Amino acid sequence: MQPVIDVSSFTRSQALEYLNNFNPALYAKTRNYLNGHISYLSALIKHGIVQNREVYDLIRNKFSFAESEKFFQELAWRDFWRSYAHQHPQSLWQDVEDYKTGFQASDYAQELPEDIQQSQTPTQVINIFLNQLRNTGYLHNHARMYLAAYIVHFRKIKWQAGARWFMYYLLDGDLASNNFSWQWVASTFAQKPYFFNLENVQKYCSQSISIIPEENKEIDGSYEEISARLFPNL
Amino acid sequence: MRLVLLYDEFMCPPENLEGKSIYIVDPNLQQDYEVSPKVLEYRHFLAKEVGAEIHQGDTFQILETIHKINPISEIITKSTFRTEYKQLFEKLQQTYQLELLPDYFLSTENPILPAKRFFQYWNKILKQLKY
Repeated sequence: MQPVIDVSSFTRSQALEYLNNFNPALYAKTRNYLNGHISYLSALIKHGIVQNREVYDLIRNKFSFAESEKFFQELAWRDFWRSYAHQHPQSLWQDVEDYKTGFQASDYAQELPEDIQQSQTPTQVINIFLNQLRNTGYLHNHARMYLAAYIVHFRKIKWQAGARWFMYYLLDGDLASNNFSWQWVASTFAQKPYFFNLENVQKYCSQSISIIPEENKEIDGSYEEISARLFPNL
Repeated sequence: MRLVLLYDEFMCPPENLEGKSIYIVDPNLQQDYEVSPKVLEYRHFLAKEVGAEIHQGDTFQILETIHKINPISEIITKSTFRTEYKQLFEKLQQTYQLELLPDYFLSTENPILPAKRFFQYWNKILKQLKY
């Protein structure tokens, strides 16, 4: 699976041209799907090639606030993390809060195991995302959330190990957005842990990747079943 | 000479900014995590896109060498939350005239706000963004 746009050669002029055809209302409806109408701007914003205020101004000139609000919120997440990092730089690699998973930080492993590093986990869709990350340096945001939740909650590994690994590969790796998003998934910067199941992956990814249910048993089950399995102390 | 010091958050100088752009790959500023060859290659690509001079090594030493050959009148770069860069900028300020452009935010007034959850932050900046 490759991203629709090769992020590694996406230039400022191409991005601005792409933005001319970008529809924030369609983004709001489809952004969670791997083949959704997304902006692909993250690497350019991270590197200051295009600024989020500039994107806001361009969208504002063409669309109503109601049509654009969801997209602006997603841009604002970046500001929120950045604002927090300015005030609490020490939290970039430290837990902002305790885990709300029924476990202590010391219950989580320090390092990523070999099967994750080699994209040979027992779960097919996870391996697809891992391969995409390694081969392209880019992942759809929903795939990042799946990977982060898989690493922290299904495999009980510290978010820091995953965050460091993402920063190694991601072309758009922004320390504040990346590390605090990992903490959001882990629940050390959120009120509850984020997790998912196979049904959710099928809903949002099946138009883009071929999913084999027998090869994804590790993530199969209802939310209640998986929650009881992942967080037995809660 | 006016120097525009690029780094991974500031790979494109503002259009009206005059000065020579320089991008330094400095391992001292990359201590908490490593980046892949593909990421480094991408940043080279971006630096070349804006015609920057590319160097590798200790930023302060490289600037010192440049300064000896062609005196630097001013260095312009962008502020950040990252500690290693803040320390570098403090050090540069002792020797050079340094202009730090503000960090990039969606909201233009007081973007750094106390908020522990996203919607606390969003509700504070919403008034500026709504139209």
